[in-house]
Amino acid sequence: MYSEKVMGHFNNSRNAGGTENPSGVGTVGNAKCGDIMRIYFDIAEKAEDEEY
Amino acid sequence: MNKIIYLDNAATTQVSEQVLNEMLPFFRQTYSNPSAVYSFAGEGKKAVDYARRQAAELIGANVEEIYFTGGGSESDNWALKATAEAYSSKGKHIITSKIEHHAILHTCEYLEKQGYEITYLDVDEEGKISLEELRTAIRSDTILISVMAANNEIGTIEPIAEIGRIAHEKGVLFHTDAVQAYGHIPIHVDEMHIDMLSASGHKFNGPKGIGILYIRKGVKIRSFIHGGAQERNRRAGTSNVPGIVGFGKAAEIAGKTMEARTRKEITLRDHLIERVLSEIPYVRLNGHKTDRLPNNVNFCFRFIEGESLLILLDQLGVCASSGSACTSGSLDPSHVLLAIGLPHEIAHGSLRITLSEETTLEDIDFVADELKKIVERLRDMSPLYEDFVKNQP
Repeated sequence: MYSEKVMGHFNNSRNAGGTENPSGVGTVGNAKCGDIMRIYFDIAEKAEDEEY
Repeated sequence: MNKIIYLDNAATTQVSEQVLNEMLPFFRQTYSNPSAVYSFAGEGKKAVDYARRQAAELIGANVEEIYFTGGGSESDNWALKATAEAYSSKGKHIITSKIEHHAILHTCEYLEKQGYEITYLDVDEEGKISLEELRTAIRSDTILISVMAANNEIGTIEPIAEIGRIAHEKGVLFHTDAVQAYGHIPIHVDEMHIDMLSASGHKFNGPKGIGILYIRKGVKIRSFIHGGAQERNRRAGTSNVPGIVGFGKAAEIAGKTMEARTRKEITLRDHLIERVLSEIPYVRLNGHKTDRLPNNVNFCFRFIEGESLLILLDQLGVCASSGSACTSGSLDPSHVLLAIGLPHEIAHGSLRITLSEETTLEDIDFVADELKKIVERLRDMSPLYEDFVKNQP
């Protein structure tokens, strides 16, 4: 039903779990439809001369 | 691959060896069309008649009230559509429940488009309809009540004898979808006032593609599949002799073994329920605790999704099922779990385990042990669980 790649991540999750004091957190999905994901950002240093 | 532990017997069952042996001669030796005149056809005809008797005896019916069909869905379609048509001069109102199989619900939706009015009875949190609500729903133009004998997902057994009594008091026909119940719990069409009953061979160790519709003598019902004169002119199509023979044999065995088999299944079922409820936190049993099919267990595990449970169980060789959304291609979880009042996010965490005669205590203990680990692992990566833990005082 799922591709090998998806199953590979499911069985051997990389970068899974939260971190202490993250710089940012984002949640997507909806528990009502059964799928939900949370992403933690931890940005070490502020880039000073980056332009947006 | 691990040994397969098949715990999805509500989906389908293995054809038993005895049933298969009974069927085999009808493929190559006695392959004649039982409708033919020559004596070679006689063996097949005799076998069909005998199977009809076996199918009838299990539910206390007369032989001539059993009609073989292509399966449970056809029987349900036939019962509803043909009754609706035959009784439309009396009225166009039909009563059913919110937790029926889709073979009933989608047929009802079809009938609504044809101008029929359908009342869908609510169920309580254990999945039972209310007899009071049923009484109130019956009108002068009600022609049919169709309520399943037992639910395929949560295993709850409906009070069909009482439903039948009410239907007959009010002069309304009563059909029951007994696909999950036939061969698993005692059913008697007279004592339970049943006018029509659907059953399917592959749910009790018979073959797939064969079912019955029991039609009480005197019920006006037109044929649904038109063609030849088979099944007393009511269901055309060359008789599926091996299937019919298999159905009959499976029905006979199911009747003979019902008491001992279901006693064993109930012991294992309750052992699994007891272990999971006491050893895993935040889990609920769906369906009625005691008025439930002997082989059915259905849980909701909070904070996780049924589909991921199925995938991890599958990797251990365990076959189970879930009322979770993705498998059905819809975002809504099972209509049955919603009807018993579960919110979407809890309904998504459902797991159905359905046992068979072959299921052992070792199988059940293995599943309970592994479920503990799987649930813990999935909760560890669940944002919902994380939020829940964080908000605990």
